[in-house]
Amino acid sequence: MRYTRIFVRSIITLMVGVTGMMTSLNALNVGGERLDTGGSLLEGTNVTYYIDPDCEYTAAIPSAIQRLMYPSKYSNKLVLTRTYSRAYSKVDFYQYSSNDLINASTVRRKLDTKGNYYSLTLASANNGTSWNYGYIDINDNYMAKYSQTKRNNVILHEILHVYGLRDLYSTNNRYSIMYGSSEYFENNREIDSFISTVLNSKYK
Amino acid sequence: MKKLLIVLTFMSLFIVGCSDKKQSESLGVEIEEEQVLYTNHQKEISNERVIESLDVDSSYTVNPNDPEALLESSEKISVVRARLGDIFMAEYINDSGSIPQTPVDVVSYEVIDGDDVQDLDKLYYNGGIVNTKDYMERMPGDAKKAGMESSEDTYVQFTLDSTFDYEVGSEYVLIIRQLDSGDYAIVLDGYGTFYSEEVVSKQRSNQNSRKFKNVLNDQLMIIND
Repeated sequence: MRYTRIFVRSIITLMVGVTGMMTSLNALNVGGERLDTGGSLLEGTNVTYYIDPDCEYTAAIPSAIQRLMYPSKYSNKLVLTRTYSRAYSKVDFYQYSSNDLINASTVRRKLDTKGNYYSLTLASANNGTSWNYGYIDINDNYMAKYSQTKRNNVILHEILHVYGLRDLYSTNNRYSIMYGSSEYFENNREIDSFISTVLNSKYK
Repeated sequence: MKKLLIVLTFMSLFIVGCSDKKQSESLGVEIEEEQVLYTNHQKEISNERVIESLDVDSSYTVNPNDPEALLESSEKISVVRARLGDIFMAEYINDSGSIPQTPVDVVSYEVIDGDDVQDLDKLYYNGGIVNTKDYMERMPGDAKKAGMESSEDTYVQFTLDSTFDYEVGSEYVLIIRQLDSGDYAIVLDGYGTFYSEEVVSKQRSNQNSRKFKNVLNDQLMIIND
């Protein structure tokens, strides 16, 4: 009887372990591509964001943030509030204009022990290193011509980079918000179960 | 007599060996001289002077892995086969945001497809190593937040997923676009860069076409004559 109980417990433990591993693998790999950088925004659950005075996307940015905080299907604990002081914000927005075929770019930055910010390379992010803040440079040359939906998708995509998600390029993932180009961004792209799993595992 | 023959054989082999060595040594010098004709100035900066290394994630307007999409990505697009010369320190030109542009000399070129290109002597590509002072002037708010100190002796390195390590003196097939300033830039850097050698296809085609393999993702760009 005792051995039967031990056997049943072992089987249950094994099943829980395998399920956990599968969830973890799903979170990291979508259609054969890695979605998670492995690192995270330090103290990133409840943060402030800053919009540079020269950045005109003062409606699209809050709109994208609403979609991040309140996805239609999956919930998360993320809270972003606008601040007018750049010093302690965690997500900063800037603007430029160029025909460089880039909608927007994101850079994640890390604080060193002396209190200065130093950058975080993708290689170190992939090793699980965390960062202190990120900035997003929006290209007005393209974004100004886009629909509101497409703008929101691009901005949400970039914000998710700050939270530690990677670009996806497989055509299997073309309808994901993390797809690396905006050619399928005309329709609303939601936070899907994979992205939600990553966000919930990092920000509790 | 036999001994003499053996000694003579060894001596002649030794002499031939020496002369070959001399020849290869002199060839080596020639190759070296050819290589130092062009310089990648960014590689002359020591790691200690690069105080930051920034990786950039971007959202593109087109699929960067699709050469056909790159060819149709802009109105002023051309495809050139170009030999690259000196690579200089990255700089901020009018047509760039927080990402600097690296200028590279074009030694020679021929237009393979698209609009005619006049007097192409320089190309830009995204990223590279830029002076800290220049970064601070372009992104003063972020530089202040990051606690950066202005210096002409320190540098910031930008790397994108499109970054490719171009070799000075090498020849590439490049998709290029004209900037508003009239200068030219490589379309999405490595995604718009192909090996110079044509890919020989075993399949017969009705059209005469040339194929080039991308340096980053092995995708083929097909140019129909």
